[in-house]
Amino acid sequence: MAPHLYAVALRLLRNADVASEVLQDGFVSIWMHAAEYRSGRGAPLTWMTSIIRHRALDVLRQPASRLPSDADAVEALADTGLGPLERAIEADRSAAVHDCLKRLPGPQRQSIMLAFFNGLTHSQIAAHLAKPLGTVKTWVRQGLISLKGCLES
Amino acid sequence: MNATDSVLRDRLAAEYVLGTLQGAARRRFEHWLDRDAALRGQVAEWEERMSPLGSALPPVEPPADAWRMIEQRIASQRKRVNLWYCVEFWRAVGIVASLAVMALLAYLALAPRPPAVAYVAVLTDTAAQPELIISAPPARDVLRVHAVTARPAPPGKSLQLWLVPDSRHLPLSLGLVPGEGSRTLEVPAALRQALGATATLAVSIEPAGGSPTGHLTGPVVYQGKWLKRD
Repeated sequence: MAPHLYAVALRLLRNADVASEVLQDGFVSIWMHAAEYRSGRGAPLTWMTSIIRHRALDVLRQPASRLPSDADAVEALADTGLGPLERAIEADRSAAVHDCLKRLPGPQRQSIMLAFFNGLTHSQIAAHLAKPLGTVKTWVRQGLISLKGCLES
Repeated sequence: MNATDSVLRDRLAAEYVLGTLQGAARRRFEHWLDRDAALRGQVAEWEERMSPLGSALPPVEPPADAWRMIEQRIASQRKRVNLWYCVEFWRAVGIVASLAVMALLAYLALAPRPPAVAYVAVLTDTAAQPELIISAPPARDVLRVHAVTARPAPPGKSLQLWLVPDSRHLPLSLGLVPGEGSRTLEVPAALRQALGATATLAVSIEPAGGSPTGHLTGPVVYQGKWLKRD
């Protein structure tokens, strides 16, 4: 469980120290709120993952963040690109969402993966793909609608 | 936000989960989230949809000092905690066992008709690994015993569960417990009162069928605090 959560934080933050701090914050928060866990909040691991994700996104978007700037973040994609992930998703037939993601048009899939795995904002995705902001927003929106439709079909 | 605009609500929930809702919009959304159970439900649905994506990430072992830091930080919260978060208890059972408690709470929360659980204990072995999860409804007339791992009693022996009210009283037998799977034990009426207070539960290895003397004779292999949920 912890290695899964740490991988999520590390992927978003790309910094072992900061990811470890986020993991610690997240676990303390999970600990303190375990008794408030409610039905309707999904599976426990999903609930914990979302706590870690949101905390990592908070840190990632702090103005005085020790983390790379937008430009650095986009450049860092060269090191943590989507290629290996796309291959992992290609190979993993266990999750329906992977199948559905594969069916999305390339730009929609890429935008959603950049947001989900790298924590990029709309404008960072637009910079990375060298496309207008409005276009990227539409890709993300359409991609999410199609994902939901695919998962419900 | 127009509360009736279901398309907008779903889109914002999706982008919140994806992470593309940011800045002031994200803070506003979290503000709504605190007040709108239906919206929380939509977010949970999106989390369920998206979370399997994360399985494409190879797991990474956290730094070794992360657990120590977590334990220290939880200890520093002691002023804010009640019995449920009793630091000594958590230290004793370790993080693994406490995650088992969380999993138990989650299971109880998710069960279609959740049984009323007022008391719970996680019994751990000497290495602080959780072995048995034991819970009881408010009336304490039955105990539900669930073995976390499959570790049957040695051949010709039985695992016997004891209530240890405090150091001044002898342990009281609550019956035999399984080494694997689940079992429901009837609690004798005389013991229900004692189970209403904080106590220790222990499991010892006894001759097959249970201690012939009615008193604890074998080595104690698992123990844990019996706590009231509040």
